[in-house]
Amino acid sequence: MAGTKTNTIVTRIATYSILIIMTFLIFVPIFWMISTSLKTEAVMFDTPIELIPSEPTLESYKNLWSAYPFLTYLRNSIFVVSAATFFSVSISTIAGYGISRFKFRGRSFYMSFLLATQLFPSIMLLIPYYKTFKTLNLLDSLYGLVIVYISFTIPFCTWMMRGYFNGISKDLDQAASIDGANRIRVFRSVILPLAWPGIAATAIYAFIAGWNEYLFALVFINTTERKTVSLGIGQLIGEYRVLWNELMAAAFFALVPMVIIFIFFNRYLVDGLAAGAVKE
Amino acid sequence: MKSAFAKKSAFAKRESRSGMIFTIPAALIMLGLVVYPMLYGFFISTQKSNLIDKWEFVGAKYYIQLLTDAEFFGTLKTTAIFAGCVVIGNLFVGLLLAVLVNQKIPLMNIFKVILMLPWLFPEVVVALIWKWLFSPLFGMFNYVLFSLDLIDAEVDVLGQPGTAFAGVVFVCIWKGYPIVMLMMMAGMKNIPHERYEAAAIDGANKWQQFLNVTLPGLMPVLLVASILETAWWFKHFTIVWLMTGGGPAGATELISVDIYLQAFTNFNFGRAAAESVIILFLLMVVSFIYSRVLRDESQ
Amino acid sequence: MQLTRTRVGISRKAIAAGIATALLIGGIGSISAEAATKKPVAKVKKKPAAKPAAKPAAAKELNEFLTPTCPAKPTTLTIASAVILEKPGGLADQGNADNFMKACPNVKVVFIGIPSNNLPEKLTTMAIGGNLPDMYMHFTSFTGKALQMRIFEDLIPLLGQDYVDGFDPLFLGEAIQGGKLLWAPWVAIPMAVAYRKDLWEAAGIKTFPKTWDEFLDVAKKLTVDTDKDGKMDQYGWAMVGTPNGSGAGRFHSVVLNSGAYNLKEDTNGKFISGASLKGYETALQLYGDAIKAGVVPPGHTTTGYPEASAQLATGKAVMMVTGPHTMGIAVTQNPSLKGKLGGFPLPTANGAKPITTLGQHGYAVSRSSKNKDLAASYIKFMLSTKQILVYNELEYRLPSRLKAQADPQVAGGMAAGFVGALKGNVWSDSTASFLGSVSKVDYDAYSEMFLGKKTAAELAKEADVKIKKLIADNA
Repeated sequence: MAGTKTNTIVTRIATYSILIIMTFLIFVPIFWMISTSLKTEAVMFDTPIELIPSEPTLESYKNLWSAYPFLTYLRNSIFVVSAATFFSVSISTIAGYGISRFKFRGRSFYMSFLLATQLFPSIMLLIPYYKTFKTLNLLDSLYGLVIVYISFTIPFCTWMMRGYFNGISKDLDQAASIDGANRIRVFRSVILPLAWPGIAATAIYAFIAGWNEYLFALVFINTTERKTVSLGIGQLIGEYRVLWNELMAAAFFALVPMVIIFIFFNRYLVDGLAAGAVKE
Repeated sequence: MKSAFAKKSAFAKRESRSGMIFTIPAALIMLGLVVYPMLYGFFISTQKSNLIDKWEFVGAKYYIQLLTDAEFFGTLKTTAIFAGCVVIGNLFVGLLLAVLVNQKIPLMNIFKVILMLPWLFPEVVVALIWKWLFSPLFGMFNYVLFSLDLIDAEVDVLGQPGTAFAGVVFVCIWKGYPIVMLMMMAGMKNIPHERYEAAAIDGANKWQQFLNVTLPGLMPVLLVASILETAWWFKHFTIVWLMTGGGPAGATELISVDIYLQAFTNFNFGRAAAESVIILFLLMVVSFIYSRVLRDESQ
Repeated sequence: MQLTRTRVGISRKAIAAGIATALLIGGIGSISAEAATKKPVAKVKKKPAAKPAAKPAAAKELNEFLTPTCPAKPTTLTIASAVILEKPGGLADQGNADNFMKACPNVKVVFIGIPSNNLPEKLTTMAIGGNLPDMYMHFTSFTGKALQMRIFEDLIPLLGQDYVDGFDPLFLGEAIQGGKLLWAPWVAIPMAVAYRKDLWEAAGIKTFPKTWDEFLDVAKKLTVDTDKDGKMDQYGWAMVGTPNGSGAGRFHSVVLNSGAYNLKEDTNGKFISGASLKGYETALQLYGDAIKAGVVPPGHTTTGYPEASAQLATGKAVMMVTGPHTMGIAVTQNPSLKGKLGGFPLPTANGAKPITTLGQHGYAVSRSSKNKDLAASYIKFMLSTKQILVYNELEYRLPSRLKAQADPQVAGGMAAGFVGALKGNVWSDSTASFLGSVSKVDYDAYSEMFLGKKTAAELAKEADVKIKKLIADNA
């Protein structure tokens, strides 16, 4: 028993040490980002380097709202990415369940097909997608972008959900259907609640993928009023000149909604709505 | 016997139909949106064209050009090694951290949020910040090393082939491990506590529990993660392009950089498409191998 | 008696009143007459456009195109531009649009802002998708693609030969292909050497280097450890080494001025590689020597255009091979630099006349546009001397119109050295579509030279082989 105790203490020390090192590695760039956002252009490249600016200013943050319609960008991004995530995760969860539980002809082909769509370099998808959406009259439209992002995230989300469903014992389905529930009831009342961690993880993935996507948003959206946050950030990077302080301020702002989303979904990863309900 | 058999096939049919109902929405969207581009890609890989009004069938010309080009294979090799390093790094770091934060000890919730942060940044911002941090004249990395008197001349991390490669791999792992960690965390939620308890009763320590309970329980998710990570990082473009542009002297030259160059700088879509198709097949083979290997192990 | 008075005597009061009234009326009249003649002068836009006469084109330049012919119906003019997103140049672009909209109230000018790094993808995709706006920004590197996709409208008939004659012929040399004007040249950034006057004088350097050997010597003299702590604080040469147009392009400038080139068409229209010429090897050698001599700040392959400009602006480096816009950027970031920057022509291998590249860009009209005449009007408006000088003042880029070039604002001041560069020879890149890959060969060559494992001769030979293969593959 003494051995276990030392084991626990050693484990704890090791755990916290590793976590602290990781935290350090994560915060160095973040501090640099915040520090840069508080500097003016004139002192940006002064040496010796200052981690904490000697004359901090909130100028670049003010510029973000006054010089660019960042609030509009934020609103657009939230709309597009939330809608895309919602539909993508819903469709993928259902599909993932279907693949996990039912044997049907073409099942492995279906999975391979979904996978194959992820293996094609996305730069080559640009032109045919553009042509398709032009025909559908969905260019320069946020709705069009929603559909694009749905198509990007479905394969991965389906694969992930199938993986999670595979990890939920099929015996549960059996037990429920013996109790008289039909397939859909089984899915909704028994399996779905257990799948929340997986759904949460999938949703976070889809959200972040959409939030940071640049290339397709760039090519599909023309009007300033419809631009997304990632475009707003990309505009600050010119071929001849990078507006470093505004760029870092913008990046910092773009982080905030995502951190909120993550904290929200973290509940499902932490708890179980899922845990403990399994009988073997 | 006969009725049991008949019942079974009726069941199978119902199964099949239910399966299809569940999976049709996803299939429709993908067929509608992604199949055309892929077929289009196949098609233009056989054409010398401006994609508007001039089309000239050239057959397998670009494929032959590529498959006999040593530089192309060199780039593929660099990309494969890059992807391999990043994927292994992500899997290792992601799994390790997921296990660590899954413990019921204080402060884990805060760490979970902190550890997610790198993933929330756009790739562009990650690349530019780290490039600046590594910069010999203006970067923290050199500044700190100088202050601690560890070096007396600037170290140009991204300027030497070996360190440049390590540098971009490090940054990509920095950005990429959270998603693996996330997937592992979710996967571990569904491993029943009873299994751990049973193992503990059998006298297994933490490490043995990990090997015999956690790892097998995570197999389905690990499989998905490995395949998709490999595909993603093989196709990676942004971080490496912004940090080194493929240099120095081709040390970090990735295949997607070449595809972009062919398509939008050289306006040679035929060749770019041919490269993409080759990548597609390559990655399909790799996925196939993965699923065979990992499926065997999990049985 | 009363009768006599009224009949004969208009009383003196009446006369006085009459004279006063006459004066008053006269006075009011003349004031209003003056006002009436003043009004047309202030509201120039109300004047009808001048009728074309047999006057030389340059003389028609100055203000007339501030009065565009406006369309009858409300129209929207869409323009794809990268400048609109940039600071400070974007202000000039927006200013042009605002002024035009004031002149023609039923026209709406809408910009599609595209970051310049992403112009190729977006323009190409829009072109292939058949969705180009009325006007788009054109860089010389886009010429090959525009020709292949045939998306431009020939501007010679649209603008009129007279007007076209008002452009600097050097600009036209690149913009006219196969007898057609692909785009209206707007500004150029000819390559020369930008330098920090204050640091130059502090080091006691008196003359500009004429050869690359002299250049290297000057760079060495400018590389100093100002605070004597064992580390260099000031370097001689802010070299742009990144694998893109900015870096590989500058290397090519050195190659050109060493008597070689990477790719060009011979008289039969066939492509030939210039990497087998001695000059290519000399340029590689220079690059390698510069690194070895330590005159370039560390991090040479990751120093892109923005980083090098920052080095120049902060005084970390003294010289930079670049165009005049770098000065604009430096001064915007750090206004105390005004007057402290200058330029001198590129050195050459043997003191011959330097060769510069224009680096010009302009605006093209899409063949699919429904508002071509309006676009032509807008182009002329944008290029009128007054408007173009605003842009020049913000960014120091050189105008394409001869009349604007003659303005003292352009030729004087910090940009004098760059304007002088235009008097040398101008090199135009080939319109070969695979030029991008050729530039990459240049980059591979010099970045390997930095590693110091192969000699310049070996690397030049490898580059030659690669370029020849590219020519063969793309035949």
